[in-house]
Formats: sequence, structure tokens, C-alpha cells
Amino acid sequence: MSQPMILEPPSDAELMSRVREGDREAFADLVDRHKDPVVNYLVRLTADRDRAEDLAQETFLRLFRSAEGYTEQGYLRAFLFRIATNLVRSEERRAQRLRLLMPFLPREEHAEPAAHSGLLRRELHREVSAAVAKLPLRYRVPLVLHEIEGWSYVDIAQEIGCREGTVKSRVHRGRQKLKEKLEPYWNGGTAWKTTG
Amino acid sequence: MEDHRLGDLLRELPRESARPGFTTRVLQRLEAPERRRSMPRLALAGALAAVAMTAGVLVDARRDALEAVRAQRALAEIRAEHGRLEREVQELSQPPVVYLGGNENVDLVLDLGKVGETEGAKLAAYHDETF
Repeated sequence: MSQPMILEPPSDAELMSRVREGDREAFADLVDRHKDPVVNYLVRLTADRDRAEDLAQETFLRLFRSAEGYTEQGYLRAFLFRIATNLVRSEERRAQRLRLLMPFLPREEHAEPAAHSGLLRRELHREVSAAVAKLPLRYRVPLVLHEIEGWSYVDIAQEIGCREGTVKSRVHRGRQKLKEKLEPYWNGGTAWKTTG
Repeated sequence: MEDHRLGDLLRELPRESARPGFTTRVLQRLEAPERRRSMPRLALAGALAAVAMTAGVLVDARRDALEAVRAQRALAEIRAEHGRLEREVQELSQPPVVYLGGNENVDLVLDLGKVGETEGAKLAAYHDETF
């Protein structure tokens, strides 16, 4: 009696080679496989759910368009994260130019933190996310990749093209800056005060 | 805040997932790339150019107006200063006279122009033993 054959899911490399030939189904499989990590990464970089979703879509579109020139190196997700990082960088530069162009734009008002104790956890996450998103990109990317995505220093160094020591230093500096940003909140900001 | 606490905080942030229909939306965008990209890009480029020009004109006009106001203010200050200096020069050209007192009939004045310098005279507040 022959044993049932178990089909291994195709690897990223196999799917990418099919994408190169214009296979939309293979592309859809790739999107399905990587969409959640890419969206999560972008939410952490931007602290904006809608923007992250839009940038994630654009990330996959760029992957499709660059499939011809893509060289398989065994880690497609790193390539996607690189595209996503570049998109955030470009978008922030555009936003900066726009701010320079229109100096009379009103500043974004931050909503008052909710005081209800039941919302504290969500509020804390919101504060941390916002503080992360305000870090300069050179600290934000390594910090998110290391602390949230769990990448090693070596992998990050390889991905962003700098030395491991530089990555360590940026992660450390990112942590320090994040602590400074969260310090007022940590030391009895309004959201920590419970009612009653 | 401790480093490990910060790390915990970051790691316990909820994992975000793509919204339902994400893949479909990506594929839809893929199907209509040119229509979605070329027209809005042209329109956006035009709009940005218009905004840049308008902003440039507005900024220039505002800068000119500010410069004019600043120049007028500086001119007024120079004129006032000139008047003050002129008055001081006139006062200095008068003979230096110190009014010492007097009544309705007599004014006691000291014409410093006619007082000769006394050799060895010192300032009233200065004495050798002071220091």
C-alpha cells in the first residue's frame, strides 16, 4: 500500500520564480504568506494602521514590479522589509518637504489620553507605538527589527548595510530615546491615574 | 525605566494583521497600474507645481511686506535718534552753567567756562585714604 504523498508548500524562491513569469496566483500566495508581518512592521514604524496597510500594499506591488531583477538570497521577508522601510523613508521625506512648503499648516493635535482604567493597557500600547514612530528612522528601523521582529544584530547589519556594532549602538540609542519620550508618561502621566 | 521593562513593553505590543481582503486589494491595484498611477501622478505634479508657485508668491509677497514694515520702523528710529543727537549737540554748544540756587530776585549760577582748573583738584568722592 502506497503512502499518501504530502505536498510541501512551495518555497518563496519557487513562488518568486513563478511570479517572474507573470503568475498572479503565485504572487497572491506570496502576499498571503507575508502580509501580516509586513503590516505589523509598518504599523510599528508609522503608528498609523491605515497608512501601514496602504504602504504594505505598495510594498507588494513593488515586489511584483521588481520581480525581474530580484535575486534569490533565501530571505524574501528581509527584502520586503527593505522595500517597506524605503517607502516609509520616502514618505517621511515628502511629508517633510510639504511641511517646509506650507509652514502655516496647523500642527497635529494629540487626543487626550483616556482616563478610564480599563483602557490603560490599550492606552499604554498606543503611547509606546506613538513614541516608537517618533524616533528618527535610523534608530527606529533597527529597534523595531530587533526588539519587535526579533532579528539578530547580524541580520539587521546585513539588511541595512552597516556594521554590527553600529546596529547595537543604534538599538541602544533608540532605547534611550524611547525611554526619554516615555519618561513623563511612565512617571505618572495622566493615563496612569485611575479614577476612583 | 529599566531596559528589560522597555523591551517587554515593545514585545508585548499586539501583533497587527492585514485586514480581510488585503490580497484582493493588492491584486486589484496590480490589475490597473497605469490608470491608477499615470493620471493621478500628472494631476498631482500639476497641483504640486501650482501649490509651489502659489506658496512661493505668497511667501515672497509676505516677505516683501515684512521687509517694508521693518525698513519703515528702522527709518523712524534713525530719525528719532538723529533728533536726539541734534538736541544734545545744541545743548553741549551752550556755555556750561550750573544752577546753584536762588530766589525770585537772584539766581546763583556757576559758569564752568570761567572757572579755571585748580592744580591738584580731586573728585569730591575720592580721597587717598579711601582705598
